[in-house]
Amino acid sequence: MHELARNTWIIAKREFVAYFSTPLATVFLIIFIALTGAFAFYVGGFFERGQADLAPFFQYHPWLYLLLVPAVAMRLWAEERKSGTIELLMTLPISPWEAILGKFFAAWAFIGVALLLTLPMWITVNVLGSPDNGVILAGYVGSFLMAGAFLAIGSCISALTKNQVIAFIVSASICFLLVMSGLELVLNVLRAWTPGFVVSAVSSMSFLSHFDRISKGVLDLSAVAFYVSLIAFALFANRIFVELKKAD
Amino acid sequence: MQSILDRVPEVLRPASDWLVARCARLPRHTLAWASIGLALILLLSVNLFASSALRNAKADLTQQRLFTISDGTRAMLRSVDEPISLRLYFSKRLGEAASVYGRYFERVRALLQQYSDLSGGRVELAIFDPEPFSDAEDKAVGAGLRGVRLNQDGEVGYFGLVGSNSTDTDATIPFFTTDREAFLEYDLTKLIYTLANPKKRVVGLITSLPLDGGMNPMAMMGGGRQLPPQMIMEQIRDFFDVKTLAQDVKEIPADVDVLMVAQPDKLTPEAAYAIDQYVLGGGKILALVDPVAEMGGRMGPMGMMGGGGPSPEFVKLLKAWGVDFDASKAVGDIANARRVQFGGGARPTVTEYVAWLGLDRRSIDEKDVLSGGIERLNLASAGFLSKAEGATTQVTPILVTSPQAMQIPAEKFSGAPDPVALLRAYKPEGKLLMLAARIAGTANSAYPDGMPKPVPAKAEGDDKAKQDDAKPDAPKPDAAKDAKPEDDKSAPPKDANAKDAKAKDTKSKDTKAKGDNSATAKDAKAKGDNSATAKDAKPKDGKSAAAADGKAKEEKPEGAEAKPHKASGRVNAIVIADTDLLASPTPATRPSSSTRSTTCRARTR
Repeated sequence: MHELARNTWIIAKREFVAYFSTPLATVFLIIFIALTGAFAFYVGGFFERGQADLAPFFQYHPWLYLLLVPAVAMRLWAEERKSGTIELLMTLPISPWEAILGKFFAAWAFIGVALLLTLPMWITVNVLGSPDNGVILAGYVGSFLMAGAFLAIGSCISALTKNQVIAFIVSASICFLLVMSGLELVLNVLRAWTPGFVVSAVSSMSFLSHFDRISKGVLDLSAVAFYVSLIAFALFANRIFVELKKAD
Repeated sequence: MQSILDRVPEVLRPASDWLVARCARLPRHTLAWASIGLALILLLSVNLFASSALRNAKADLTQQRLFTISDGTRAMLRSVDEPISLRLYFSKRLGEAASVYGRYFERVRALLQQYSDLSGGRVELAIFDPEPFSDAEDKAVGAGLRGVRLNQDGEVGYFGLVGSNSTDTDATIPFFTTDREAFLEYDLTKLIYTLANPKKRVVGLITSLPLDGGMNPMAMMGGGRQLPPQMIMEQIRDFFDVKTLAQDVKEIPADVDVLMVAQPDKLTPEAAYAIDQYVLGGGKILALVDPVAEMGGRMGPMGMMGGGGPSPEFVKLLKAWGVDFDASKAVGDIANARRVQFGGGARPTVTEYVAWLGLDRRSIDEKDVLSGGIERLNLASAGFLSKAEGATTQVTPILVTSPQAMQIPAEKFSGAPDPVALLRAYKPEGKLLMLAARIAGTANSAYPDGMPKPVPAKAEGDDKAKQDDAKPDAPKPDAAKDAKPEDDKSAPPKDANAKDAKAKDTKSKDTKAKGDNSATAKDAKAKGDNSATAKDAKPKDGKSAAAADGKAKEEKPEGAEAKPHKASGRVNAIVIADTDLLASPTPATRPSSSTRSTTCRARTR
């Protein structure tokens, strides 16, 4: 167990630093901050609402992650396989789990950094009014968990292909389905021809409704369990795909 | 049993061995995909399980704990013992047109679901989408739900709640407006409470104060202005039936569960005896007395009279229960004084007004269920209580002053008191004074000799009694004349009641009956209206006054005689030495001319 944590830590550290050695980090961080700000101020009507909270800020996170997180995740395994470094990685004295977890946590921490850089929003709203900071904290926790779930799915898809573009498109589509699965639009279509438990299973897989609950200030154990279990499932599938495809 | 369980692994082992051997021969790809499929099933089942089993496990991070169900609601839900069905109507179109309502609906639904879980399934929730021209819409409208127009085509959206209990009593929330979102739990709990307890408990109210609004006594001469009922009365009526009793009541009706006596200023000895017997017989009483009742400020012969304190008969009762109350002394407390602004004009003076107390946690008993959780309580020119010598009951203070309190003669408050002068003359006395107390224990009757001899019956008194007994015979002009000056304090509440019954359209017969009960000569018209519909108006309209009178005599004395005199009994009382905490915090409830109430305005620090 100790070995696993240590090796995971080494991989994560190496991967995390690697983000900042390429322009990827800069581009990603700038775009993320610019987009969250633009959505909050212009689309969400941050000022027009006249309420001291970050609801318009968090409201668009699922849609931003839909584009940005698969972009981070697509290179995790596809790039290794394209350039052949996966052979090297797998011959190192580490288990596949350590590599998977290390890469995942590094990418998750990277998104965490992006999220931390939006703290000026929080400062602004505290200067302008007296918001419920508990709700904002919950929003950040929910947003971070949701990013982790997007990322795990992206990582899993990335292990399936050598082509980063395919990895991006497929994982974005899957995430899109998961985001949309809570909307009445989708559920109504399902209701017409599937039994009730399928509908409730699908709606219980919705990113949006879980995130909505958390970002209102209720850290719901079932919502946390949803994200954590989804991450666990995606990483398990990731492990199997890595194993399955490493010889291809 | 044990042997069967022991045998299970033996039976299963060959099966599992066979399965493993079989699977080992499968190609790697098949195994990999199968394992992912199994993991997916596991994922779905974990989430299905979590969404139902962990629904109530959550951390509420909002600062006001908006999503945490309070202990009061939990206790109430646990006590629900008959099935209550809730029907939540929400038009999906409304959620699409205004996403605010979509989210609010989710919250209402989640909360009601939680209520249902907490009640052990006795509260049942069903959700309907009242589409246009559907049965659900008909039912929603029939139950009194209010629709909002969604678009130009006149499509209507609904978002309301209808609850009913096993006896078909209905309660509704016509529309969940978002401005009441912060009170959602209160509103829902109230609704379920009224359904779970269809028979409201009865509060008997004896008071000289215009708690129920009515005519402003100060403005009566000049056209008269209606006072709104105090907010506290509205809140009491949400949960209780209020039965207003006159100050010369001969017996407290048996159905009164709690008696609330607020500043009775003209309590007759018979009424005091009735209260005495009621309390010794196990009745619960909430008594509010005040040396200077600012709310009840009335016009006296010498201009403004500052309330004048409770009737001596009632003070005598308090003494019998174990507390002394001195109506001639009010309390000042520099440590708890509120800051007021008085004197109009360009330069109002701001000072500490030692008679207006803003009590904080140090002065409030945290452990008493009545006062626990109260952060701050404002009193205005309160009196104080002290334990009577030789009291046999246990007197527990609920509210106390700081040790720097001082006793101030009540006459200082007649007319317009000068906060600055009071402050200058202030001398701390170094003793805590008790502002409110809970009394429990055995006490002797204040009337050891039994029923006091009735005062010589005046014609006027008779008339009044007759009217108070709700006999809706046409009021005699002279009775009206006689009763009016005597009765002007009790009249206003009645007025308000009658108005309530009509204006609010609270179908309850009780309300009407109440209006009827208490109708006086003054609101003869309202009375006439009500008596026609009131259920318990016993005599028919045509009956003569004499007949009505006879009936009254038949009933009342019998009841009184049937009960033997109780010389002692267990007292269960709460006494508060201030009545102004009943007042709504709106200046409109205060007399408006030339009193300190308008010249002194509480100012936030």
